[in-house]
Amino acid sequence: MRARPWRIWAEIGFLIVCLAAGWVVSELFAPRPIIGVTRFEGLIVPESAQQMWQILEHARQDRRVAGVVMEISSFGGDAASSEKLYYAMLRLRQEKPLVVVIDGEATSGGYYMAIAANRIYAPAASAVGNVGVWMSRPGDPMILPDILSTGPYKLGGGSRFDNIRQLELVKESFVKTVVHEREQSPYRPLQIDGRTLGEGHIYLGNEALALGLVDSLGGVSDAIPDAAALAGITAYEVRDLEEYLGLPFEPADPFMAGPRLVQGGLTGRVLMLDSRLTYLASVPPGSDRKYGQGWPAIPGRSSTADLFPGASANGGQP
Amino acid sequence: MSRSPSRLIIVVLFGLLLLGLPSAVRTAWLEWGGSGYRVPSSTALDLAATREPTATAVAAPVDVAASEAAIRPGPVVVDLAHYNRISPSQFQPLAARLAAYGVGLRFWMNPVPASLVDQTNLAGLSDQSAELTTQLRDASAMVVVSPLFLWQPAEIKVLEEFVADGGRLLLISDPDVLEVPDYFVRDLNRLGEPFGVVFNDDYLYDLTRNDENYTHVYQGEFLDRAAALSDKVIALYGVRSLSGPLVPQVRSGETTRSSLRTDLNAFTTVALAGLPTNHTVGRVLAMGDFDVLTDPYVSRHDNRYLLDFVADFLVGAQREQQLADFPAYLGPRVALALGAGMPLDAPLLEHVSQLQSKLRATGRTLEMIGPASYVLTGTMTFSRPTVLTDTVAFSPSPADDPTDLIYAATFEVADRETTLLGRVGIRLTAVAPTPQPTPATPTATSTAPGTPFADTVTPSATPSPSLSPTPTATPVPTPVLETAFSPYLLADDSVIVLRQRLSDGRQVTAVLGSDVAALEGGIIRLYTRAFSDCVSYPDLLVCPFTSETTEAPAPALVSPLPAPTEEMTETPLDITPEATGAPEPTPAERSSAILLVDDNRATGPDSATGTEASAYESALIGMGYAPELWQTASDGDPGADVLADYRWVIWSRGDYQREETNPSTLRDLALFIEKGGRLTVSGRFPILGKSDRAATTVRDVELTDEVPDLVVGLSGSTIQLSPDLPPAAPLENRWGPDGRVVLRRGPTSENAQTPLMVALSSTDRTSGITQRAIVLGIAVDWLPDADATQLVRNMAAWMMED
Repeated sequence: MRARPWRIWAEIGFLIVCLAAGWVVSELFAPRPIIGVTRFEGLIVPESAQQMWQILEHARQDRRVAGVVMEISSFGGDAASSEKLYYAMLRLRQEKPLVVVIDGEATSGGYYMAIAANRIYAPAASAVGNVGVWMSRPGDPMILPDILSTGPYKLGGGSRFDNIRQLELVKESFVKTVVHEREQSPYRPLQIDGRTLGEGHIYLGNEALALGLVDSLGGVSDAIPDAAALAGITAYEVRDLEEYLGLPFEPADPFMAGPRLVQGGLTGRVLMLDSRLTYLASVPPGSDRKYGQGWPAIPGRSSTADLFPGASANGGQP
Repeated sequence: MSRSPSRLIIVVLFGLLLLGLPSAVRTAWLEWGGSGYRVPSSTALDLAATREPTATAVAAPVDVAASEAAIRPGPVVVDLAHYNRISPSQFQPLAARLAAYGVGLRFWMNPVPASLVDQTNLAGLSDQSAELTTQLRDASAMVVVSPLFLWQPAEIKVLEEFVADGGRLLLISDPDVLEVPDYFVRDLNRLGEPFGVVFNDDYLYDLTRNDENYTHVYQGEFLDRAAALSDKVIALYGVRSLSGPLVPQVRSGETTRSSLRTDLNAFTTVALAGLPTNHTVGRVLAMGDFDVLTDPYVSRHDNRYLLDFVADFLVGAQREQQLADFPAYLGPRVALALGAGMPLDAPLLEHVSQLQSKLRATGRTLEMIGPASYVLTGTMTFSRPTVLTDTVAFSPSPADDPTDLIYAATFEVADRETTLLGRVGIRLTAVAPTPQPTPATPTATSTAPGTPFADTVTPSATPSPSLSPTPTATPVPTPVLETAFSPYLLADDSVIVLRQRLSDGRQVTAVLGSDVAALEGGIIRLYTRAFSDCVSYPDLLVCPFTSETTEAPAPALVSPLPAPTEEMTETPLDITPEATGAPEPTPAERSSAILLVDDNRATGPDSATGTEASAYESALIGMGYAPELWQTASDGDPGADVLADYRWVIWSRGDYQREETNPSTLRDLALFIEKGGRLTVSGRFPILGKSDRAATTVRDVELTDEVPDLVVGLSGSTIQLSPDLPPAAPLENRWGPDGRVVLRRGPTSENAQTPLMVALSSTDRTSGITQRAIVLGIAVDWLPDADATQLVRNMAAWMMED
């Protein structure tokens, strides 16, 4: 016996209703792509760079994360760590859109990170640039009384001019990378030459826009839809990446980590650090490196200085 | 009928499927679906780079000694006395270059260690003009590089006179030697002001053409005397520009810019300076960089040629020395002549030998002139070949062999056979003293044996048996020198040293005195250059002379200590120390040669009653000394001028709480010791020698055998102290090769076995002066009374020992 027509329409109607209900359920409960927002602030030191690298790597591998917006508020720091973050962000950019927002300052190593993005936003009054590197003034190789080494540069890594030359190489690498990235910007290509860039100027956000160091004036609220548009999505969630991924980020405080970065660690460490932070380069009172170059031992005459070692800068210390 | 339930189930299942399908599709798309993101295309960036290959090594330059100029020019003095933040080792390349000319480098240092100087007051360094004068006396040039402390006006004046006198000055202000450029540039500008040179507060850089860094700038122009460097590649490493009425020698290139003087180029970086108003034109070389003269920069490119240029400038000095600069103004050959009939006895011969040695050390020869034969008359005499006048030169050697002369004679002889005195306006004459009756003098026998000695002594060695008037002596005219600058000088109390230039260009240096002993004193002054107590003119020195030989007691003198005579049988006042080991001070030592400084400026709550100074004082008085007491609470710290009057200074802090140290006082003490003064510091916070460790308790004291003379007579090898003493700051553990630990903290003390008393002794290699010091880390009166007294006696003996 054949079904009645009304029954068929009822069945079709039921299926349509189920489909519609399914669509509603998916709108409400199905996972959406995420635009992850993260923030890097403070000094770029190995510890903070490693934390941010992990966040970026997990974001890159997570399929829900469709794009990343990174806020940067950094004076830079260790050169190698800055480059590490740059490469991590570049890798992310190869798979997902990355938009950087400069929050206050992105100078030296902080700017090095920023140039890896698809697009850079900056407020008009932010500090951008300071392209260059510095290191403590190198010395000459010497023989130490209680250490025997196998080569003249084993202890110091090179002659004085080797170190000077390497500083220039790092600077050239920095400048070339900035030029390379910014020249290819589809929004605001670079307008100044590498030599001028290498002078180390710090630009305001609006100056940086004019020179092609950033792409747009704006903030996070502009960057998020921009990242979504680059990802080709209209429906998405905005999530804090640290919370979403369960990976904390602890900023390196400039006042705590800065002196350790500048004065501790390896001699000849190259820094991509904003030169305005002069307090980081100052030496604690009482140090024998006062005035920056080391207080030279004043060899007292054989009579007086030797007679009173307690009053001498050099003698008499147990 | 049987198909309806199956159809219903299928429909329901389809419905459920459609219900979950959108969510599933969305999820699947999210997990495995594509992205709407298009990766931006970009070209790869090649950052591969490498350093320049190591340069091929070339032979190190060998500086060949200049063949001319047998005389060794005066040294180049380098200022480190203003705590210039450079190292002597940085001068090695310059020193090597100067050595080729036979010129040495001498570093002028401040005796106070840098750590003791108040670095917050860069204008507060003591005036060192006296030391500078001494340093520059025989110098040919001076180098000042980026001083930390300001030069004082008096010092600048000395330097200005040095340059006007023919000396040369190298002024360098290097921007990367300094942390606070403003201050130093201003300071060096204060120093550069008399010579018309201004160091700008900038640094030069070149982004186009540089030696590995933008602050390493190649120079573009070489001018004036540096024109010979025009084909050389020379770079400066951190350099500032110069301004002022200069004669530029080196200028920067076209692409070099200034950090401050924007829109300019071709900056002067090396220049000759000096002003005609003070006769210093061309005698000052100013540079804006020091690094180029040091390793490793001096070895790069042609920088060594710039070093040569600087060295040539420094050795080009032609000082117009004064008499006090002896022997700098003498030529390579010098002859010594004595006045006619002058005996050359052994002491005089010895001093002539010393003079010869000193001249030889400066590249000069000294020969005695006179005929080969001589006549022995008990002492050796030389007959004079010619009479010395201002036009007829002596002839010690062939006429074409210029030789300067040193002439030593008594006033009488010189006045007879030369015109030396007359040419300086000095006339030898005599004045007769006003005759006075000689008073009757009591004799020694007026004093019965065993009774206290009378308060007068007999003038004669053999006392007369009775009271009688001595015959009146015939007054002897006193030889005097009439001069234009004083009524007359007592010839017996004066030594004249003068210089005259003969008509043939040779120079005569004359040493004139009343007798041979005076001439010896004058010759000693020559080779020790001891003229500080002389009235000095450019070519004339009038110096005091006192005989050192023992004199017979003067008449009518009042003396507490009689000279023993044959008639006296009683023993003199008992001044022999009670215990063994301490020799009896001589009469010369029992004088106000001891200064006892009671540093009671800041007493604290822990101070005990009574002072350590009293313990010293009573012990020394018991030995027959008469120490002078100085209290810092009322008189402040004694300065260098006060200290200089004493042989031994005891700086007592005793129980006082005072811990800080005044740097200027330390400096004065350092100078005092350098000049042979003896210093003892003691107290629980001694002014010197204490460590930074916290004060701890001393309960016992252990003796060592490192300086037996200082521990002789002390009771036992370990001395117990009172248990209720305040803590004392431990002394430093290491005292260098000159220090000997005399006492240590005992085993029951805190910081046991650490030094408690240290004796330091050293002989200055330059002056031959022996310096001694004692540091005691407790108050001396913490010891039992007998030990305290004995220790002070031992100290006195050790300190007063020559």
